Amino acid sequence: MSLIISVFVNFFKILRLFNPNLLKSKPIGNFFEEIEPYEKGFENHYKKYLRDKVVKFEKERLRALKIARRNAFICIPIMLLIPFGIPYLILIWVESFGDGSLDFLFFGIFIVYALLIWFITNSMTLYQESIKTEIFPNILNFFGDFQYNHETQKSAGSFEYSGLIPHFTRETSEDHILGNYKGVSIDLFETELEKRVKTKDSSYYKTVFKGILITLSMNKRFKGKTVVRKDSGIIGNWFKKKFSSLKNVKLEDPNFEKMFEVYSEDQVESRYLLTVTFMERLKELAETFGGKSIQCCFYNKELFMMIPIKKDMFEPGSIFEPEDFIDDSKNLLKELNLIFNIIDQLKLNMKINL
Amino acid sequence: MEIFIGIIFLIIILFYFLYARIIRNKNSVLEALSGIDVQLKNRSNLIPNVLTIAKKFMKHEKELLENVTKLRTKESQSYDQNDPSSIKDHISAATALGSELGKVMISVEAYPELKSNETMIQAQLTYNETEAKIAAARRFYNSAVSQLNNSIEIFPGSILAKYANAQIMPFYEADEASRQPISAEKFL
Repeated sequence: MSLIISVFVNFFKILRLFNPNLLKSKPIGNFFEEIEPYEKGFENHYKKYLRDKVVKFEKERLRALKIARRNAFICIPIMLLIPFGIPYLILIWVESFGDGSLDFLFFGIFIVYALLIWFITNSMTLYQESIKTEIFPNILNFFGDFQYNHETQKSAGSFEYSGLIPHFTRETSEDHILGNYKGVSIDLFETELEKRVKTKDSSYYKTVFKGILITLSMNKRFKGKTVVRKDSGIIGNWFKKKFSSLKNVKLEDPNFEKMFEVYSEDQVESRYLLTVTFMERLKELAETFGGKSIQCCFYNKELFMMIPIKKDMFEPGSIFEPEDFIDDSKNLLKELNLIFNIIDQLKLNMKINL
Repeated sequence: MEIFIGIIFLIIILFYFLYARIIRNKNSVLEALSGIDVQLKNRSNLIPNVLTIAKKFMKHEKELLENVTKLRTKESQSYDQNDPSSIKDHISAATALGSELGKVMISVEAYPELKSNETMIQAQLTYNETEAKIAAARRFYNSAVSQLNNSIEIFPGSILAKYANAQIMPFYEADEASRQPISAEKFL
């Protein structure tokens, strides 16, 4: 399914390649307007670390579009001719393999289209990746000692201990960010987990989680494991209680109990971590992210959180707009601010036992 | 006849489950009480260090420090975990000690030399952690007591409680002083 969506998204990108004004040079902004509170001070940072790269990357952008347009002129005629050849292909295929395996022929044609689209858009993809590897670290260092890697060695499987990771067959992870905010260390990456689902005749991949996995250092000392998972309803909760090695913890806040189920190795320690105030903050945080889907686990001096987010985070701006890094910066600052808000909302930087 | 026997059998099973639930809830309360006592012990172990340092500097707080010592002795006395009035006395002693120790920690602020003493700083940090854990242990205890009291008070729990040797238990409540509104004028 994600392959099909990717093909459609790239198809619209290819259409834009035929815009006659595509390769005309446009005025590039060179002033970062600080609108949001979290953008304060970024204009100086932009002047120091990013502005001198604008000219080079604008040339790279136009070069990537030129290559993509050239490849489009080669591949589009092939793509238009293939449908005319399909009846002949079907005849030859049926004579050779019988009509029971036509699915393979159509799948093969789809793969050919996907490869042609890949060939057209490859230069654009490589350019976007260069923004991530060369420019994102220079945006992120505005917040201090932050590191960014487009790829990640980490895997969702390393968080199996939490009991929160759903069963998955395929994982796509990227955008690994490490840093420190107000004394709280942050380690996060974006991931999409898919599970293979078999039907009668075929199989497909279904997304079981898409969002960010984030580990934050805790401001309290604790020894055991406490898991806060989303409420699964009466039957779901009953099964989890029966088959969990952890004890179910019933807390005082009825609204919190409706949204979450808590399991822990230690009843007292779980209440030490989940104070009345912390429960309020966690509820507010869940509302920020659209309801009940946040889950977290306190373990090994850290707070691990699974935050489902449908859109792709940490992506560069459109390749079809002049490159001045202003859109890239604004998007990245906004998304990082969302992460910092988690720390601020939960007050993980404060040692007040509340 | 079979139906009648079946109904009797179901009633026996139901009564057994209710009886087992009362036993489980009683054990939860005992577990929670032990949890509180562990944290109270940690706090109690802090007191000699705090008093030793405090006595050197807080010459005008002699009465307060002596109160803390007396209440510590009272709180450390053993009590019957199956007797609600014994538990209530134990809770009162622990709450009173907590209140007096809190006053000592606030009074430290008035003595700059004491406030900056490394050992006292460490003791205050440990005290804050311990108080937070006592609060957590209290919440667990109150939750367990609520479940036990519900299972006893709702019929036929009141009949089965006798056989399970279970009684209504007291909650861990804030003392009267903590419930009073705080006036900033007292401190300014």
